[in-house]
Amino acid sequence: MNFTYAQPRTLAELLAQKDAQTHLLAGGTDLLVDTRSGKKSVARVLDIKAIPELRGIRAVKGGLQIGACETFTHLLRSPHLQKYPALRECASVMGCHEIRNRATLGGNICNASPGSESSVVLSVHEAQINIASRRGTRRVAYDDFTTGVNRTCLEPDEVVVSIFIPSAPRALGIYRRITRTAGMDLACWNGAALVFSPNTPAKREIRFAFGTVMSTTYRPRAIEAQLSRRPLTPADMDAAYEAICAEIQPRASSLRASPDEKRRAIRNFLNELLALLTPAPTRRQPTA
Amino acid sequence: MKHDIQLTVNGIPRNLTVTADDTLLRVLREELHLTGAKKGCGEGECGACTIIMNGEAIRACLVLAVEANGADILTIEGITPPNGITRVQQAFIEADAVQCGFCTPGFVMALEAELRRNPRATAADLRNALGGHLCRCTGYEAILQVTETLATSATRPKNTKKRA
Ligand SMILES: Cc1cc2nc3c(=O)[nH]c(=O)nc-3n(C[C@H](O)[C@H](O)[C@H](O)COP(=O)(O)OP(=O)(O)OC[C@H]3O[C@@H](n4cnc5c(N)ncnc54)[C@H](O)[C@@H]3O)c2cc1C
Ligand code: FES
Ligand code: FES
Repeated sequence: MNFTYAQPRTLAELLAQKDAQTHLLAGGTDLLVDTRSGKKSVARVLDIKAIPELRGIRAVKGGLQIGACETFTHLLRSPHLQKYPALRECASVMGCHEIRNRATLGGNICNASPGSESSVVLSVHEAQINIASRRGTRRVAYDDFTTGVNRTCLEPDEVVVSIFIPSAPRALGIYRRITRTAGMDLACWNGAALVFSPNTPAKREIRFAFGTVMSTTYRPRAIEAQLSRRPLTPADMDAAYEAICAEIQPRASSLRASPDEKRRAIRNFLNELLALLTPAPTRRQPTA
Repeated sequence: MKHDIQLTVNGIPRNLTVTADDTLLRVLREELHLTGAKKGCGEGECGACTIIMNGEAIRACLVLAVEANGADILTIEGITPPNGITRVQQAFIEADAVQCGFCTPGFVMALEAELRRNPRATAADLRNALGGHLCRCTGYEAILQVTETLATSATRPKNTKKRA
């Protein structure tokens, strides 16, 4: 490793210095690993953690605003996360304590790995990414933010300032992942669902998203629409599963899980979702 | 490029000159000769380099020394009270949870951090705090015994007055 280091104190100072030759350092849990392994060649590092504009977890009109440099540990400890159970769950299983104490939500989305912990959750919540540069600000839907494996829509002079998550009152939110070991491991596969009006089939709106089955997060909107606003049967889930399998393209060369394992994970996820949404006399209705 | 940094290590203020790409782990081990924290993998995976920075357990191999400017650092060398050892260290000895010892400072610091933050940590909390720690010798059973011992003593502290 051989680079220079600077620590801008304000967003304006950061934007004045950000260009194609500059790498941003938040928690460093991806950047330092990639620099050391030679995956990234880094000449100049800007440490952005101390910039106040990139911090804070705030309830704002219509949702939650999370500063790009907030760590997963801060997310877990924030009382606001109680209303965002899928996000809370993903923050609680990400990495391990020492990684969560450093790793940031902004770094997670900017690194854009296909199984990144927050991806599926931000997708079903239809999160908006607030981006700034010397040229001004813009807001991008999370699904348009990631453009490929380790690729985002950010221009070389742009930085992520915050992530806005629209609130989902009384929605059912779940996050699931599979890993190779019970301890720390990147997700081999992950999935999230957000269901509005879960107990009222006629009004129910179902969203779900899966990671590691495409180069970016897979959010099958047409299939969601077919499952929404109606009572659900096992046959509906079979049809949804078939339709999903026809669309996804899990890589056979993946080191972590085979395409079959990922399909099985999706099948289990759909079964669980059906069980949560189907009234059973002994089961309490999901509330959230 | 050189940077002058100031930090507190185990209660002692230190002024150091480091390069931008120096890791905190290298500086602790090779400049301050605090060799308790180990370099196992150097990429965040094994936990052998775990120390406490500003009250939180972190991986010293994944933090630059310049990032620790102004920080309060605690290493395994700094946790023991005068004339004694900590509850965590005692539990490791009792459970015979050490073989080669390379991983031990990391495990101990992870448990210290959890108990300092959460004195009533359950066995599950403590196990969770060890999620990112690898040991090649013990087979983990004895280390898990440590978490059980600490959880029992954490939920029933000896000298704590009952709350009204
Ligand atoms: C041992 C270990 C375990 C891990 N486990 C998991 C896991 O279980 N799940 C998971 O998803 N990830 C995991 N990771 C990967 C990593 O911790 C996460 O992706 C983390 O969220 C990255 O955040 P960071 O703040 O450390 O990013 P950094 O390394 O600081 O930055 C990552 C990238 O994003 C850029 N960047 C950062 N912030 C911004 C910003 N505001 N604007 C523009 N660009 C920015 C950086 O320049 C860099 O290219 C693990 C990593 C390690 C080392
Ligand atoms: S040496 Fe830091 S985690 Fe392995
Ligand atoms: S005792 Fe040898 S690695 Fe744990």
